[in-house]
Amino acid sequence: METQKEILKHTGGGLTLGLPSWQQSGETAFVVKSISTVSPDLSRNKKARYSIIRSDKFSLYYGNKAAVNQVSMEIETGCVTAIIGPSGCGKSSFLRSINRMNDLIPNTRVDGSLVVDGRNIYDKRVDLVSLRRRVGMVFQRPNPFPKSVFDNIAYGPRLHGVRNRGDLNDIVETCLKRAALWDEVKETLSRSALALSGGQQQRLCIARALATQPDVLLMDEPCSALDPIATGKIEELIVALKEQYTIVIVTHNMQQAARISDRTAFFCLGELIEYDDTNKIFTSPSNPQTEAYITGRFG
Amino acid sequence: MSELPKRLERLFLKLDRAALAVEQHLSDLLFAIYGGNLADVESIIAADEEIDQREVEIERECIRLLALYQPAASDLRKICFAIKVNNDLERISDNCVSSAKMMRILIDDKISMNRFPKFRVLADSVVEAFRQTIRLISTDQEIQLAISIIKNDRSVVDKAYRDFLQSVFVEVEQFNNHVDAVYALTSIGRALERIGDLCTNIAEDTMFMLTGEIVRHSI
Repeated sequence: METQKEILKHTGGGLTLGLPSWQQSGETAFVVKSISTVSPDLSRNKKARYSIIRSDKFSLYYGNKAAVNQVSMEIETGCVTAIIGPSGCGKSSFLRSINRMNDLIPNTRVDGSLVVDGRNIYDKRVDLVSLRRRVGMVFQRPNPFPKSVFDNIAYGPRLHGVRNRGDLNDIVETCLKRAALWDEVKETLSRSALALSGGQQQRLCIARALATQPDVLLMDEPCSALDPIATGKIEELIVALKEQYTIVIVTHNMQQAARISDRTAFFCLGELIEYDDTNKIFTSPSNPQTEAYITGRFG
Repeated sequence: MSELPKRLERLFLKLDRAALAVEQHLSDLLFAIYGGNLADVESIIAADEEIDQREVEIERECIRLLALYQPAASDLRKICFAIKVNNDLERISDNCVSSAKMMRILIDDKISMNRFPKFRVLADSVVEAFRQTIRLISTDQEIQLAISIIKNDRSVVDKAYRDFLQSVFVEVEQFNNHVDAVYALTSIGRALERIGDLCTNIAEDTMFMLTGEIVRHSI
């Protein structure tokens, strides 16, 4: 059995940016229970881009109402994909579907398929804990646990069986560095996370999401509660992280989508209207509805 | 609905007025060239200031709109178009001024442009190209019109420019003592040819505004 610490050593003690993926790919991906039990895939970052998320006519119903209607799209690794659209267009519902957050809402049902790395995540055999470890999520408002900075980051790894203090130290340092927060909190790791500023708390939440070694990071309006300076830091962070993690972000701030994303999907009334390179969407979109939305003439 | 569409409309109205002012500048220049009157020539040079002011005002408005509204898609393309066309119009006007300065030399040397019938062909072709270009800015923002302006520049204006130069060089012996006159004649021809090129640029920018495609080096 290879421990977290040994794996971190393989990657240069966490100082290198390319952490390995802990899981095997394909069918076995979501039955993995512990993050310390699987050999690292060191070649992960050298892989060519591929579509890690594929939705095929995916629909999500709240009762009888289709919040997401027959959406087919592929999301590539190594890039930031932004989802934009007016309120109630189904963008957050779609995002939350990618790690099955909507399971918590009563009377929901899905149709079509949503595949993450080769596996339909709505398959009954899928282990939700493993899925959510691989597909991390950052929410609109920073939601640190009422614990210390250290414990916030260590929470996920502990849940997945990492007990060794040295291993946990390494993970906490690596993740905080990667979330560009280390220098600001390294002296005060034992202080409550709630004492941090809003922007720091949100970076802490990103670090916490990174601690379980996800492949995909879902972000639901991660900057909407932050000031412009903190927003700038999160945006820089997102761009820096995209080589290692597939990032899908829902945002109401269209300039933000234009700045940080490589691909942009425009949703309206639950449907995917247009999905293209961000440059194309923001300079000359093909669909008149997209044009009307991003020029502020509707929505 | 934001205020932006209304402000864009007003911006284009200003751009249209600037284009008409430049057209007047060009037509006054030709009047001065054919008439050979020094006072007319000086008024061309003086008129540049007003056009420069318009240019600065339009550019300020474009920057304001970019800063205040962070426009995207067609709105963004319209503002980019306005910035570029505004600059092109000012350069057309600058070419009129530099031609007027050259006219001082010709008037001094008592050389009339009327002895070069090919000049009129060149001037007419440029005036026509500019008229069509103004349609692009104000009323008929059409891809076909833009393409015809670009093609016309190559087939008509460029040829007229070469013919004019040739006619100057044929008579070059008669200007033995007036090297500066030859320079002035060719400079005026060159300035008009540049105006034709700037019309082409505006046509290309129109295509960008309409389609989002940059066609500058591909047509």
